[in-house]
Amino acid sequence: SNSVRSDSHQFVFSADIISTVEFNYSGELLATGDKGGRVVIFQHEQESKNRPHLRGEYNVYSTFQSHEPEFDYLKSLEIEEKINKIRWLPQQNAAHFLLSTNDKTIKLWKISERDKRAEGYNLKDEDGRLRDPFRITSLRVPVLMPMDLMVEASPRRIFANAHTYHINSISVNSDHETYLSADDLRINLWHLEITDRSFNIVDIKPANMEELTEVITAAECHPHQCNVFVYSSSKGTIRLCDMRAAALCDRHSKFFEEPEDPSSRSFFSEIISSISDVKFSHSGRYMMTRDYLSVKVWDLNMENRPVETYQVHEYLRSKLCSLYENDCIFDKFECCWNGSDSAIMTGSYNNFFRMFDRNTRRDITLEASRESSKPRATLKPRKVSTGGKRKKDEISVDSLDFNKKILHTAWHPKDNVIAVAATNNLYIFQDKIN
Amino acid sequence: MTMMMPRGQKRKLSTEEDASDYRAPTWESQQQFLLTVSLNKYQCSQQLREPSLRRSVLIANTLRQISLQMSMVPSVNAEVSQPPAVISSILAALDSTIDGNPQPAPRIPLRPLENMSKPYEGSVALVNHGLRDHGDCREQQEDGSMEVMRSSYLGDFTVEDLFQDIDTSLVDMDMGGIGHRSTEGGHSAGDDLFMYLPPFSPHSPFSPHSLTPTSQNAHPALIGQLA
Repeated sequence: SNSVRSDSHQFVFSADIISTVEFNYSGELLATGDKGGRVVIFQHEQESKNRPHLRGEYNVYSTFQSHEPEFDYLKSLEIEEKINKIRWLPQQNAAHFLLSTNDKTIKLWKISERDKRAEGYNLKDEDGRLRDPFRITSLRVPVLMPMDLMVEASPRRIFANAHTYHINSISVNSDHETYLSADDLRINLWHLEITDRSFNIVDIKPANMEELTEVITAAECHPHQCNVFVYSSSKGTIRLCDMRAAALCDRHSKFFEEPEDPSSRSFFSEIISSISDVKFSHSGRYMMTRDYLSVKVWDLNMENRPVETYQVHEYLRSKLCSLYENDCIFDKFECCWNGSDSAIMTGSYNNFFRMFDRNTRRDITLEASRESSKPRATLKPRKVSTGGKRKKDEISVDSLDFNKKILHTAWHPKDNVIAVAATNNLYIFQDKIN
Repeated sequence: MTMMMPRGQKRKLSTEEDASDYRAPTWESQQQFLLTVSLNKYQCSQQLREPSLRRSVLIANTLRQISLQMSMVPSVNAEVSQPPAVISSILAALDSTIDGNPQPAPRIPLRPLENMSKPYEGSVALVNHGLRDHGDCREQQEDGSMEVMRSSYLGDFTVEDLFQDIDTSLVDMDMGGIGHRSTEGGHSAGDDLFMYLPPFSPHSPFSPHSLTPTSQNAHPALIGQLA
């Protein structure tokens, strides 16, 4: 449909710029990380019995400080506490686990609920003070009493000192025991239980750094084949590697690259071809890459070109010089699949985000704004006028606000619920049930 | 293709301009504009906490591309001819940024040009350190972005030469704490000797969310590498 009607639009204001957004495997929890090193987890509340046709809202479930700013004394440089990525682990018991990372250190956090506490201790009072042992005349067994729900986050593992360069990706393997972390030049494989060592599986650092012309920009494990992962580069290439083939996966099994269109070559061709995000489809048959102007869907069996290409904001192609000058050309946009892999979503400027339906080939531009987050508001499709006459309600390219960029979006793994991070605002849009 | 014109300049752009037409004046002016922008970007990035490797590599690749194009195309007029040495010295400096070496990268010293009509904020400028035996490049330019290209005195320079006249007495005091570190990439500690002068402003106002580079380039921090 051409509009997204919703009964529940939420708008959450955060003190800091949101730097990552991620639903967990069930979609019950939504985690955000911010520039200040904080993680905020939202939980989907149960639908109200009175109004079963409405989805419940997402409420704050837990907030904790994941990373603190550090100082690298050797390099005389600050290490930013900004959370680059959060990835959930599949849930195995009552507690939830997630990995969060800044530029250098990955942490495994356990989020658990406590809704009972023991009362009736023998040796201490209810307020914790020690009882006078001579006053104790009888023994009792402490009992568990209900208490207000408390959600605690505790760091269970800290995976540090394995990355010289800035970590851009983490990805949990389908074996649920290992995960990979990637920086500009290297990819490491970790075991979730072991923090003092990791295996380096990709290393593209040249012997002579003057020869460096390409960096790793993103990496992800295959959703089902635990030996397969991909990584993308600043030159617009994707390499698929099989860990069974060799211990060091510098040699790829597959190499994905679309031949360049000579008619559109410019000084900026390489920069705009730099891939900012790579995501496997839930099915594991496709992968999607995001470069500066487009989103491409690749069939893993076809290396020489993508099977689908979607233009995100082609009207920016004539503005690349300005965008290079004001640095916007280096912005790293993410992209995501919906649960059934039938639609994809990615962000743009002016708080616009784009959704593409792969089946109907229809696309829509929406804006994450306060207006759209009013209850029962219909998200109005937006349009950027590309030339000639500007129609009513259209916005011209020169009026776009390039400071309002939507870099991070997430789609609920099952339902039509999306989370959109617009600088320091988080928007959650939900479709009506059926 | 439309492009943002440097301020203070008026040129007519044909919209049917072929981007691959090397002879077109707009091609050359875009090249020069990009060169200046890239140089400025490089300098700005050195003031960030830790420059993004991806960004440095992309800027370096763009500079190489411009350099390649410029050296391939015979110059149409004197305005366009530039010594490739300028670019290669910049690239060499950029490469040491890309180096995993923990030290901040060496910078080409730059001075703000007096009365320069800035094509854009924070333009690249050249520092005058009383460089000896070379032509005075203080000729006022109509277009400040041309300054880098026209100064012939950079032609025979190496990075070391640029630092000859800098007073290093202050730095020598600090050498004990900063120099001679073990570095990445197989460099032995003795190979790289760095001078470090603290920047004028400890906090760079440069923010990833600002649209244009600010004019903090007026106070460049001088960091050099003696190979």
